[in-house]
Amino acid sequence: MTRVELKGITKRFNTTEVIKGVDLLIERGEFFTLLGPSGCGKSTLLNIVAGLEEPTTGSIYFDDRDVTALSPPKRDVAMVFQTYALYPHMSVFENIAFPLRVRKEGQDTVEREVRRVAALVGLERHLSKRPSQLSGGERQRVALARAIVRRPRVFLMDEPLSNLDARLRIIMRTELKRLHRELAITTIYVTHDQEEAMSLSDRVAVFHAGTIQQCAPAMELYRRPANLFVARFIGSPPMNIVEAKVLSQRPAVIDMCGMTIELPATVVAEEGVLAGIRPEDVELSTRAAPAMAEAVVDVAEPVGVYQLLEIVYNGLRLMVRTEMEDIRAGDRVYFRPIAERIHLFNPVTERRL
Amino acid sequence: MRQKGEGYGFIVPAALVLLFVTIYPLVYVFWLSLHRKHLIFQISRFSGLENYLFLLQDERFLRALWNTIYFTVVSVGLELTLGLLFALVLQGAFATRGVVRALVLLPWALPTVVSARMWEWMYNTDFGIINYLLGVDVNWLGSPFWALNAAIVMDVWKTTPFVALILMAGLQVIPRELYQSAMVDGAGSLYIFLRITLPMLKPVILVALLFRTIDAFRVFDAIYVLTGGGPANTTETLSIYAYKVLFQTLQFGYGSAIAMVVFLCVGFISVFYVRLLSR
Repeated sequence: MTRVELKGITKRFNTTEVIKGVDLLIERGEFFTLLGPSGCGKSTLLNIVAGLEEPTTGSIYFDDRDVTALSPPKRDVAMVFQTYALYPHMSVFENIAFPLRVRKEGQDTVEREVRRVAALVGLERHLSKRPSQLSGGERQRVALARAIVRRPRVFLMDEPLSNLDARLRIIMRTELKRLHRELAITTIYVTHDQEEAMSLSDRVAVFHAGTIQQCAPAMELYRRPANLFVARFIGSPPMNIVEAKVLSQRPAVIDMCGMTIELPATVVAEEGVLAGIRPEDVELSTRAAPAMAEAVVDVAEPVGVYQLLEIVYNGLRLMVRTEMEDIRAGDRVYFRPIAERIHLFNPVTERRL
Repeated sequence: MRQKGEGYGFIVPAALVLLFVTIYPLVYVFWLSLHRKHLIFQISRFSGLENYLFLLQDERFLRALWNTIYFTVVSVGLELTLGLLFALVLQGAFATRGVVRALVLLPWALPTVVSARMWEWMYNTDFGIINYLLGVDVNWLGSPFWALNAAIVMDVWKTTPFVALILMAGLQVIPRELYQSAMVDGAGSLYIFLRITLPMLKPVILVALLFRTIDAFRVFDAIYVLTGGGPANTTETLSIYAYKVLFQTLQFGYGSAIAMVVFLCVGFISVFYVRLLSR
């Protein structure tokens, strides 16, 4: 197991700065995820850890040893690519065996290791096939097996599940988690899918515009987003962001489109704030109740166990999640944001208050 | 409703064109090759396979066959090796890549007759730049040993760009991730070239070989302009021999038999490569 440390990493392509100073410490055996929208530089950062790209400035350490100048073969990392990068002219067996063949392992070792790993990911029956004869999920497993067979110091995974269909993605997600538990190898995982990041990782770094917005355990990103970007990016459907006025600071009272809400904590803020309300943090009722406001359901989307409603109140549109099934578009409902779960942000700095 | 057999109607125009421009001439040449037909002596009679049997004793024909095979194997071999080398070098990213690619393609863009004349002067014993640069006094095109090799050098110069172009296209479709993955897995560049680049390039290499082998086997203008088949028929290829027999001595029967041999050889080469390709 290896501890990976990035110090002051920047990367510039010509004049565009893709990565603007990243410091990270990834613990031994940790499942660490870089999460961000496409084009935020997260894949570049992963390539820098792999040695496929050179950082413009900064250093990479594996267990306190500086590996910045080492070529990819010397870093002893294994990488899984979004496109799987399987060798189409080789059998599944030879694909998995590739890293061992490079190291000139004996045929006995190769045979034994490939079969062991193939069993681990459930590929025993496909070893003599070509990659083109496999389904997307099976190809993904071959790519994983090829990474595992190395017993590398660090696993690097670049959107490994993005090319799979939704159902398979969830199956492979569970499998990845099981594999990580069994192998306990430090893993750096890149994805744009916040749900994937949350469900897999010990810690997640939200990456945007070349910098890390927040680095924390998954649930903390959800409960205490450090800024507006993280708040919007984590959670599906995304958080409602509403402009609000601060009426008083102690006790803290805010006004949202004519609706006054008393907050449990004190707000040390200017007059205007942005209030973040998750769709699941809204109390909803079909009957009028004190302190609840009346709204009209504009759109109702049943998802199965719950429904997503877009409700309109006094010009304000809110996404709300409810388990009540008998609500239709056009219905009248009564709602109240749960005060303890409202997130407040500074509208200028976009930081959490 | 779709009429039964309607589909056949659609291929009739294409089939007719093919019938007139390829099938008919082919059958006619074959028919001619079964005749003893001398325009000069006004002889024309059916002779069966006599012409083909005579081919086996015709030393000039056997010489031309050997010249053609030698020319094909050596020039195609060199073109493939050099073409691959160029393609690999040109694939690398550098600022002037577009310009360099265009420059490399220049020899291929020149008409064959023009480049043959150009090389003829370069090979000139008294005034040629090649003798001047090498500081020797060789009669390249007049020497039985050098003449065919001189023609090969010109052909390699002229068509290596074509091979490089095809291989470059093949290199471009190999996903970058394959190289990256192999690199991360510890493979060096030679290992990557042998285990990944070459096998991935195989279909494209076969296509290039198919084109080049067939072209080289039928070589005519390059050599005809350069040496006219001389000295003493040492650079005479099958196409040149067939041309001379057909149009200089007007022996339509025997000339057609030679042309049929070229056709059959090219046919075998094509079938061989297409088989390899479809595997």
